[in-house]
Amino acid sequence: MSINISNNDGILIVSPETRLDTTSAPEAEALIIAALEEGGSKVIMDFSGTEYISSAGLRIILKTAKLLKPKSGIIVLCNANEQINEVLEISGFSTMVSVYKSQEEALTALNS
Amino acid sequence: MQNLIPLLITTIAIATVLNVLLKRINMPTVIGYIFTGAIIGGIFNINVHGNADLEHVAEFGVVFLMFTIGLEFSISHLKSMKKEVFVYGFSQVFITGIVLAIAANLLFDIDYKPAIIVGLGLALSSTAIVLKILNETGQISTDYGRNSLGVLIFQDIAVIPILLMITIFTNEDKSLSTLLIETTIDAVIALSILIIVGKYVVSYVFKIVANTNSKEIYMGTILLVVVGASYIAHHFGFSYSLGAFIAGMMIADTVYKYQVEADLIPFRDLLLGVFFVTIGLQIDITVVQQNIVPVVMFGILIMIVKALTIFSILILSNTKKASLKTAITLSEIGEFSLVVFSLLLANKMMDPVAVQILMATIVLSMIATPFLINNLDKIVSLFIKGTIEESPIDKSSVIGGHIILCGYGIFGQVVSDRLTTEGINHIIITNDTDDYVKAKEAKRSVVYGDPSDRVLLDRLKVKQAMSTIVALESIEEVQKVSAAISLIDPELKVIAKVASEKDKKELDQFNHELLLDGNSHTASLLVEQIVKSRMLAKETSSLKYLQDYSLDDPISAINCVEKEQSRLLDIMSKSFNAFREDKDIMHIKAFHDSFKVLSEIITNAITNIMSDAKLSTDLYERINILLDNQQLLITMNASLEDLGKELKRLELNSKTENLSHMAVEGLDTILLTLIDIATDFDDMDMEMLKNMTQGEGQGLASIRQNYLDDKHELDSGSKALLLSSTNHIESLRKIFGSIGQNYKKLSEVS
Repeated sequence: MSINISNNDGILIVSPETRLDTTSAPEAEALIIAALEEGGSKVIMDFSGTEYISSAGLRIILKTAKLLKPKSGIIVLCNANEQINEVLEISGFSTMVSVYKSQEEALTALNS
Repeated sequence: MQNLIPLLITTIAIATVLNVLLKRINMPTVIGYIFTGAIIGGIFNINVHGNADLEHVAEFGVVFLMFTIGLEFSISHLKSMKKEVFVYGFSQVFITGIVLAIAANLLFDIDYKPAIIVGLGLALSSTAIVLKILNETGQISTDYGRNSLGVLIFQDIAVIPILLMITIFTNEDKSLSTLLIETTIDAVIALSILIIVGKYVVSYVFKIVANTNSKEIYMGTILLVVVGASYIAHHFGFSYSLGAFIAGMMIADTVYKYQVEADLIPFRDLLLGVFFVTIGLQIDITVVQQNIVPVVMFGILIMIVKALTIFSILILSNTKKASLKTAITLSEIGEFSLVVFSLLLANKMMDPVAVQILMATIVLSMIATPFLINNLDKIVSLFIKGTIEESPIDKSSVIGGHIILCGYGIFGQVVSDRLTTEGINHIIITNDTDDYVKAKEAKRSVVYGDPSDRVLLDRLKVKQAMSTIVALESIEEVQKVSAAISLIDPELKVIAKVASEKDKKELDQFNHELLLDGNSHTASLLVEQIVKSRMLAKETSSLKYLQDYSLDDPISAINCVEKEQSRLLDIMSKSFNAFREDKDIMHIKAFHDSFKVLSEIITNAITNIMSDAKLSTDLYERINILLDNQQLLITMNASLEDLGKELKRLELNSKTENLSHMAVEGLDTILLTLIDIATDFDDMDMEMLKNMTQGEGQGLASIRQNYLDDKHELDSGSKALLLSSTNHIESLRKIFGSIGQNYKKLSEVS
């Protein structure tokens, strides 16, 4: 399993391990869709265990955002390393999705 | 002179036969010419002394040699070699001169005056032989080549005071101070004329002559410059060669240098040949026969004394090896010594038999020189064991299934690096001390020895080896190794690199697994790469939709253009994939090329539709948007091509490598969203694209600040590269956003 998914009081926490790229993205996508079908409209993508994210990985974030849009849901990111922060800046994600330093901060923001 | 024609024919015939034979055993032509002279002297009973014409012709060989050496020596070059010329050169001539003068004083029982001349004369080495061999073998650029050149230049300059000393010692009409003042004045005048004319007139003359486009006039001018400069120097009492050397130096800084050099080489080599024949002519066979023991003894002793002196001087600031190589290279006695001894004889300063013995010694030492220089590595390895720490053969490298790599030159090193990368066990054999040390430093398994030594090959278990690769440059060496391996076992196969088809044929008689024709294989790889790229370009640029368009059906035509435009976006996304997969720059360039081919066809189609098709207002609006898109796409391709090159460079720097990868992923994400919009417009995708591409680039600004601060310690070149690439990223994001906006408009118009 290269993606861990947990639920914290209705907030879905997705934690990719090591790399979120073309290899792991389909699995992540399937797991997120399945989890969202069970309910929930808030997602935290926690990158604490992730070293690298490719365009395929970034598109998972976009797809999740698209899925959440009709539910007025939200996806936020946290614990991004320097490299992931760079790709978020270059792709313009940082202006579109909120990025928090820690999971606690992300949870607080989503619960408020 | 009535015997001139038979003499010439015999000389040329003997020289040709001898040189062909000597070339077979890898000996330089110098030896052939000297032997020819000795034989001709015996047959025709010629003595070069007193034959002023022959002496002049011969001297002009050295004149042309010194001119071409001067061509390699601009003033700035000479300045950069002042240590070699003035420190090493002066010390060598002075110390060796004194030692040999004392020896001459004791041995020949002569006065101190002729003893000094003898000592200084014997201190000179052979510029003609040494520089010819060092130039031909490319050793002139090595450290000992440079040392040798520096010392030889000083020696050539030193000929002037030595000849002057003979005049002083024999001239009883003028006082020493008068002679010195006269010579100084002459030197200043001669040098001033040569430098002023050389610097300001000669290059102007060459410019005019070059404009005539006449090879004949050009050649005539070169000869005029060389002979003229030599004559000026000679007129003021200096050697012809010094004048030629200064003239060469004056031309060295001009653009005509290479053409002059190329045109002059045939003359130089021919006249040098005559020079060496005259050296041979000076051998009086009878005197040599009667005094063979002293001649050989003197030869050996003088060479040892010279070598020891040079070694002692150089070791203070050079490596042991470079010092010893220079010492051996310059241990012989030179052609200018013959001139000095001729004058000693003419001025009756020494016994004629003693002079003949010394002259025979000089010629003998000159004959020995090519043998010594050609075997420098072997000789040095006899004395300096320390540089080649003979180590036992690494048994783990020869357990069978290993590779034996003969030679560790430039090609051998590349082969060894690749074998190491692939984890293939190999052992290197080399008899080049420099290469041996390099291999040791690179922690390779290496043995010092002759790669064609059958005993050594046997010890390296050549029969159990997977392959033997011969990475030696000369075809003769490759042949020797192939022959040795064939003798061990005719079934054993060898892999070798050859330079041409002709070399390949030379190896036909041996058993070879693969003969890699260096030029042909490199050319094939190059063309293969281009063909691959072209195929890729053709494939990606082939039309899918546009061939169906017809101006009679403008709606379909516009739809086709729209589809082809979205294929342009696909091509760009594929170029990101190529970057991600670490494909070479040719591969990535192929995508940009195919983009350009397809883009041109689309642009033409849009122009045709706009100008020739009958369109409604809505359709005009659509085609206008597509035209705008097309211009944006062309800008995007150019920008991405530039960025791709920059990212490849950023990738090479460990500090910016990650940023390079992240730029590809970030931009590809935006591009993929744009492709989604282009193929199937969706408001949500459009909103996301807008969010991703809007803003004033604050994110990129923070990346820039992060990399430009002192933490990353980037050099100025990397900083400039980083600024340029982030600017490209920023403009690409804006272009992606604008193209997306156009698709939004298209969806509204349709």
